[in-house]
Amino acid sequence: MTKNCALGNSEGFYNAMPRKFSGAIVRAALGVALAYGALPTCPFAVIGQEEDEQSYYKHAYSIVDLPLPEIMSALPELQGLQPGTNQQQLPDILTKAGEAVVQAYEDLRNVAADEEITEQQYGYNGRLLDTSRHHFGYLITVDKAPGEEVLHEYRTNARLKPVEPESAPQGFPFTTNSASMWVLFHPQNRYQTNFRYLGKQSVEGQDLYVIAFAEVPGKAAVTGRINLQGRSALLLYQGVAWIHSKSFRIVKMRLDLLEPQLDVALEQLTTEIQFGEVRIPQATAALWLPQAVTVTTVNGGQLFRNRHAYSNFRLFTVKSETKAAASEQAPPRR
Amino acid sequence: MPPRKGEIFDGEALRRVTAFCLDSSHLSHSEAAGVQESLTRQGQSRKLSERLSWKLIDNCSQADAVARVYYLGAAIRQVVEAGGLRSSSPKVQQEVDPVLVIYDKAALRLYYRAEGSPIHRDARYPLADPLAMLAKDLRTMNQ
Repeated sequence: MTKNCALGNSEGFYNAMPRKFSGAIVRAALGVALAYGALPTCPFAVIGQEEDEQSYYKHAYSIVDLPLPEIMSALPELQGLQPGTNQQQLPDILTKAGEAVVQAYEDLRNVAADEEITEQQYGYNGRLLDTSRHHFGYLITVDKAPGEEVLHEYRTNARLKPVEPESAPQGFPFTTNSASMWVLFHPQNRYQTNFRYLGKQSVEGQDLYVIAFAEVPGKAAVTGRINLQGRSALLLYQGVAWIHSKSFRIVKMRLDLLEPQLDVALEQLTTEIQFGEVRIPQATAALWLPQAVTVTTVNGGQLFRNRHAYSNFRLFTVKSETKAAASEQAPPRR
Repeated sequence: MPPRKGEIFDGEALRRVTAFCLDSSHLSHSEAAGVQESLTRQGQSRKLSERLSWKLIDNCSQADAVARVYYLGAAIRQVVEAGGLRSSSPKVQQEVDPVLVIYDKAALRLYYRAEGSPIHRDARYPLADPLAMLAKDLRTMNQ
């Protein structure tokens, strides 16, 4: 039997990352109960309205097409890159990175953590106008029912009950779903994306392979969705992944829109995700999860930068969820 | 209302631009035609061309930067006809703010953004304001 596996977050939540993920249509068609953003790890078909929406990106000129000097000029974080001379290594790197993604997905358990969001709003000429801080809980749950696996990400209150957080009144909505962006490299999703080996880079003592990627309009199933100004727009991505040269785990990702989504005045949406190993005493294997995420947005000329930091990772059990729910319903102490 | 102005997001990159192209793939045919004509006509304008030295080319893969245009706030605004007292019902026009955005070829970085004064959506030269802002901002930046 083919296993249905997917990643997503709960209905009504603003998707993290640069997105509020789409996939609702795809998932509904497959009977997977996801609403906003889900990141399918299995090769879902792109159908109907979403396929039409992907045509918005059909003229996109992506990082995969760009000459290397221009990529390096556009992305200062590539300073020190030793350019690859050809693409011969690419299939092997993608295969091993795909295996690492599959392993990370299998190791994943229900996890709770603390999330601190620092939101900065900038004005003309990069002047910082406002900074605000917000604290939330962060929850990843993995439903591993027979024949179906779905990963959800939630933002929660202190009692681990999902909340729909509001950003500052003038802020850009908070995003989620950072944990799961590596599914772009899942072996069964790879056909949805064009990849290019850029070279090797040493970052903080780690030797990393640097891979550029761009989703293919008409094929992409790992998509985002954003609702702004009363309009809804599908988001496709391009970006760069830094892959550890020995473990082949994705250490860092940078995602940009495949093309600005001007239907909703989304002029830029850049998400930088730092992944790392998380050891939880009760978990049998170390987990591979986001440690920090920075989302930079230019929406209607307004620049926002939201930094998400995660800490205090621990296993999340049904027992703790029940307890949290019960305590929330308990009358206040006098 | 404060004076409208452009915003430079990456001055160094802007300084390196010598040739740019227009990506109008997200616009309707008539909008794209209007924007193209606006760029061509105003690029030929002596006043503007003296200040905006960029060359407009067709092939985006050969360009240093890509310009995109969109219309912000496509809300219906009521515009009372001149001498509106003669008319009991105000004339309703669809006005939008034309926005010019300049990117690198792959849209990894936003270089520049300018938002023009409200215009009718079918205005013949929708980019008059944003292009003038761009020229002015480039001149100021290079001084």
